[in-house]
Amino acid sequence: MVKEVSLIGELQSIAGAGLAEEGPACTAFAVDGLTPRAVVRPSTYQGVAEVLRYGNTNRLTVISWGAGSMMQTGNRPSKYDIALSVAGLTGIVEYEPADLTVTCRAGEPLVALQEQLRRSRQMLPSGPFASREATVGGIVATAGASASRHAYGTPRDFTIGMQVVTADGRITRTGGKVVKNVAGYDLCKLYTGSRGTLGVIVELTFKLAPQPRHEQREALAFDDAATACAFARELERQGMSVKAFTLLNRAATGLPRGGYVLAVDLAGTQAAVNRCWETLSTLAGAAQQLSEAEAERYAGAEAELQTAASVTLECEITVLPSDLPVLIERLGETLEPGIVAYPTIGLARAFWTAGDAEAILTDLTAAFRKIGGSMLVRRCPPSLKSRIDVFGEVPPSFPLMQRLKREFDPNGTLSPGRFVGRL
Amino acid sequence: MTAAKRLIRELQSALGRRWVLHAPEDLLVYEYDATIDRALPQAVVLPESAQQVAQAVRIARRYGLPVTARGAGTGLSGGALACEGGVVIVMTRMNRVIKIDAENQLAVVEPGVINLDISKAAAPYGLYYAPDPSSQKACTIGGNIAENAGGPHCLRYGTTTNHVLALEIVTADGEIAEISATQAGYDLTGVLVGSEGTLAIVTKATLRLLHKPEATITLLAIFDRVSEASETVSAIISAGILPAALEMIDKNTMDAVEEFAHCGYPPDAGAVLLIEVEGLSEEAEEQANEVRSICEKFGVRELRTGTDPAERERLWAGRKSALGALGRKAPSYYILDGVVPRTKLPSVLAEVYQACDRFGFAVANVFHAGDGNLHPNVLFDERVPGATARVLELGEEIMRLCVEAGGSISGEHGVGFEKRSYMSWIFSEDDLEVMARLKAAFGAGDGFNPGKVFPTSKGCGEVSSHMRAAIAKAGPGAYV
Repeated sequence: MVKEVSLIGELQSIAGAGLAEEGPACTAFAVDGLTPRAVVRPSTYQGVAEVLRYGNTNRLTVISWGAGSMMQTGNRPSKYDIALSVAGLTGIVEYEPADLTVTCRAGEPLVALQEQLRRSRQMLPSGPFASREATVGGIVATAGASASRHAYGTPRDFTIGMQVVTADGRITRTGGKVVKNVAGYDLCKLYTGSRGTLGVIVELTFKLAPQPRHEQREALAFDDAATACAFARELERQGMSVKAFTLLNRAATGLPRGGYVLAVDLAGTQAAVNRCWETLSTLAGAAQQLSEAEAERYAGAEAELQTAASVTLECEITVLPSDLPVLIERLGETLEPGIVAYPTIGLARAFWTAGDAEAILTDLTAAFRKIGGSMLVRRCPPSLKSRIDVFGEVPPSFPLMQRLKREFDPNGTLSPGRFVGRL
Repeated sequence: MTAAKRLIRELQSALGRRWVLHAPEDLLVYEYDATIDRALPQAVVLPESAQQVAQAVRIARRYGLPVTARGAGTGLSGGALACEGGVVIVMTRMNRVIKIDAENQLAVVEPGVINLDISKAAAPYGLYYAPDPSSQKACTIGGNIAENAGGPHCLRYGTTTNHVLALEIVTADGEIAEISATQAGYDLTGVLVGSEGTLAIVTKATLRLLHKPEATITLLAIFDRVSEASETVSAIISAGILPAALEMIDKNTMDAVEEFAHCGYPPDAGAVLLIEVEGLSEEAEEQANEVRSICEKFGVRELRTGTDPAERERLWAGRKSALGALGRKAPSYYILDGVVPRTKLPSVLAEVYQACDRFGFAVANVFHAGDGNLHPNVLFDERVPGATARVLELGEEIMRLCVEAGGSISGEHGVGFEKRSYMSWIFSEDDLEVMARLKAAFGAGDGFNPGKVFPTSKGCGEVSSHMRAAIAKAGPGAYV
């Protein structure tokens, strides 16, 4: 017990008395059934650095948190002593609209940042995400990609600079504040999607995009996924101003009858959007086009699935776009999950509310060997996590990744066991 | 038999006699890049497969020799120079476009493919490869990946790193590995791009292709003063317009170009902006109109528009021939590459002119204004005693101006050995130590392209000459 007292005492002296807690406060920071011994919410980068230095020196493991909306994705931690929340590190550090870049602290919620940017008719080309609390740090750390990646890419494409605290407590910079920069290794790429296993992101600089002048959502009904995907790719081929294509199956739309809905988010100048609408209407039969009200209804479908408590298994599968129809068909054979797919990207998310998760995964893994691609289990029963790697089979370059982890975090302080191959 | 002879024997038996160069007169061809510094390797090999690259790496490592990969040698930071000798692996025989997958908008290519040849191979499908360094008719994709090459159209479409999806690499221990930006785990592809050949050698790349836009409109705007042109740049970005390209040419450049390419630039004009907007025809037209009215607001004196390929080509001619034309102005020039936040462009540009005046050198600016990526080209005569040293001093001062404005020491040319010593201006020891950890993870040590990127390594030749890298030979074979 003496040690427990010294841990919380130490953290309180680092972060301030009210910013480190033990006991009941820790329950909210449990990961896969493991509850940390203490939670600390530093209010400065220096505080984050001191917590990590302390943990690293004393062989205590640290899992970093933003809003926690993506914490269910990952392997079960091998050990979990301290929950380090950066949710208190909020706010914009530097924003000059004419530079079309912004620097903000990692705990800044995306929604709040977008609110600020909107005033200058700009945006971070990311999201929306299911959770309104999702922080920019969390989105980058998990490489959170949204439907708009069709037009704008993923966090790796628009994150141009970072401050990251290393496992041994050094506050380091990589990249910069300019949109074009080739000075030194691009470690932003390394930290993006590394899920807190190489360092803790405390500050980010993003390349922004002007807000589209005009946006319009259209939705179309299709009998099969292949035709819907081909339709999307044809619009893409013709250079239509589309921000996102989202394909939903019957289970995802909640429609009583079968088939698929393709939501098309048009974005651009008014004239361009009008032209896109005309092209889309010409390509599609009148019966296929759904009303505006219906189209709006599907906007929230993915977020609903992502937050639905009834979902017991959620997978994200990436394949070549041309293989997507086969994948969707194959997914449908596994107890008809809700499916949300991005036809031009080759990404599908499937949500199951019933069935034996392990049996479904075994079945799917066999199917993917044929199709090729990668699968991430975003949500599954915690009991299953002792038997599977949620990131799927380790990639061929896994030995290099192991060496990276050893170089960046030799003591295994940062989120140990959580990443691919239980790194 | 001496070790040097044994090395050549082993390389020959792995690659074939014809593809191993070791005679002094053959090696000379590979001792330079687009800069004026030189470094002679002990052997040059020209492999035709990843297996041969891996064999060459293993052999060189066994002899304790460093390996430097090389494409077309158009680099502007000394990246392809074998600073510490060793074996140079020339990738130009590995120049096949392996596959164009039109349905998935992908190209799979070997590293020696010339940048523009990718777009040529993709053209029948209405696709193209977006990053377009000015040297795109000569430079290879392998070199582009090593340097994370940019180009005029990166303003809208991003640099090389945004277009590389997967790589096949040969690691320092001579193993062939596949890495992909979409596979689970760390984004090794992302860190490989721009690592200047210090981590691994790329032997195959999967690239993203884009559909050609329906309409492209090029505007050429002539201003009396540089300040008006650079304020126009900021105003365009502020108005929520992200052109495909937004380039600036200043007076000195125009003078040189005019004698050479006869673009019809007025002799008393101060700066020219080249602004390209793309998309659906309605969108391009609408944006072009907005750009026109912004130009007018800032006092543009003449606006030219090109919509068909021939007209657009004519408007671009001045920009594209700029560096070659500078050869008429002075026997030598020092090409600088710095970046500043876009809003700092007017003030930094003014300071660059002041600094050049103070040093007594003429400067020609031709650059990617929309990105804030400056390329001052300092004109001088290397034969004048002391001129080179003064130009280097000036270059350092200009780089300082960029850093002090919140910018960076390189936007697209790379650090190479030219700017190693400037790395500490923008990165702390801790920052650099973390980069060293990445290098350690790849196990390359000083085995791949030693003397580059990091400020502490030994450099090419004498320390006093290590910053001469970007002093280019004046002439038509230069790009920026």
